[in-house]
Amino acid sequence: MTIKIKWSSPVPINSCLFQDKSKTICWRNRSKADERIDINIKDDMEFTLMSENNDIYAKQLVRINTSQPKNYRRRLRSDWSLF
Amino acid sequence: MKHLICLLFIFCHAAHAQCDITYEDCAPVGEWEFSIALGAGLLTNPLNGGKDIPLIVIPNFSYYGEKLFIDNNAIGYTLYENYTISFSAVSQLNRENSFFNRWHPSNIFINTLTKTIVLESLIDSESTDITEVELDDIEERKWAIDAGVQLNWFFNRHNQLKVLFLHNINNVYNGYNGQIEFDHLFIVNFIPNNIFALTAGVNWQSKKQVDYYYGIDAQDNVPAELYYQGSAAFNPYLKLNSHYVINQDWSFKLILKREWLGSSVKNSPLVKDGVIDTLFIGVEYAF
Repeated sequence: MTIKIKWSSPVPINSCLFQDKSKTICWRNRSKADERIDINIKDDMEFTLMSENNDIYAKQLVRINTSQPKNYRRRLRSDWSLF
Repeated sequence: MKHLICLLFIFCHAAHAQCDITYEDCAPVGEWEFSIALGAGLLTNPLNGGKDIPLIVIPNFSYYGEKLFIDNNAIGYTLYENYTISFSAVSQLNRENSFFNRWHPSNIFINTLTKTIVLESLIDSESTDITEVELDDIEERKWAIDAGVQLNWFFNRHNQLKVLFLHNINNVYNGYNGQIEFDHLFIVNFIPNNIFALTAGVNWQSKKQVDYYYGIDAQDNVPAELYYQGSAAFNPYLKLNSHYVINQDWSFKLILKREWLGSSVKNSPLVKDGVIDTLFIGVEYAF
């Protein structure tokens, strides 16, 4: 899955984005960011923007909701392919 | 920290093979689906002495797992799948022997010995223009099971190309067969809740398959003058499938199909018709 991340700060900061405990992307001396990154996510997960000293600038809980209660896949045989 | 920082996440769909049930022909993953159709229909039998197959009650079942699928007469395992391509290993029952079944009631009452005598007497009386062989005069053909690969190429939500290449695996005819099929799904505005599928395709049978089912040789109970050896055949076909949704459980079905037999099948002394027609009209109940 691809996610788009946007953040802004009044002053330039050094920061890294963590998906749960793992670091995904870092910025140096930036006051804003607008990035796309590929991630794997199955369940609800917290994303945290932290400084080099592990100070938390911001965090966001991302909930996984599906609009389709069932998982579907495409049929590979045409309808009534017997005939 | 006194910084005012907002984090904004926007999730985008990446390439995967999730099916959109609003627009596509989808199956729920991990669930069996059963339906039964009741109506009137016919699958014509192109063989001399072969009875048309009535289509009155037609069960339909399928199971689609994450990789494994079972769809009526076929079982498969999807090896690779993305937005546009699905590549699977498949095995399925070969259709051809359904025309050679002799379960129809007339076979129970007709004495095979009598028929043989009649055939021989016709030849003896200089009726040398006999060019046809009846189904009941030949050695029984066996059901074949094939296995091979299947490629589905989804151009978009409404159009797909399917390619099948199979080899016989139960030592019946030991040859190959294949299929190339293009499916187009469409709706018409004046018939709401109805999906049409128009299919154009070609069935290919290798020489060994044509020979086994439509060839005539010493094992068949006919004079040597009627022996026939086939070659590979291409059978093009057109199919129109209409599915009208009445409610969640019931739908109205219409199927029209015509398959034109390739010349090496059509020229067999066993074959009386150059086409196989399928017609069914009825209702389907999904369990």
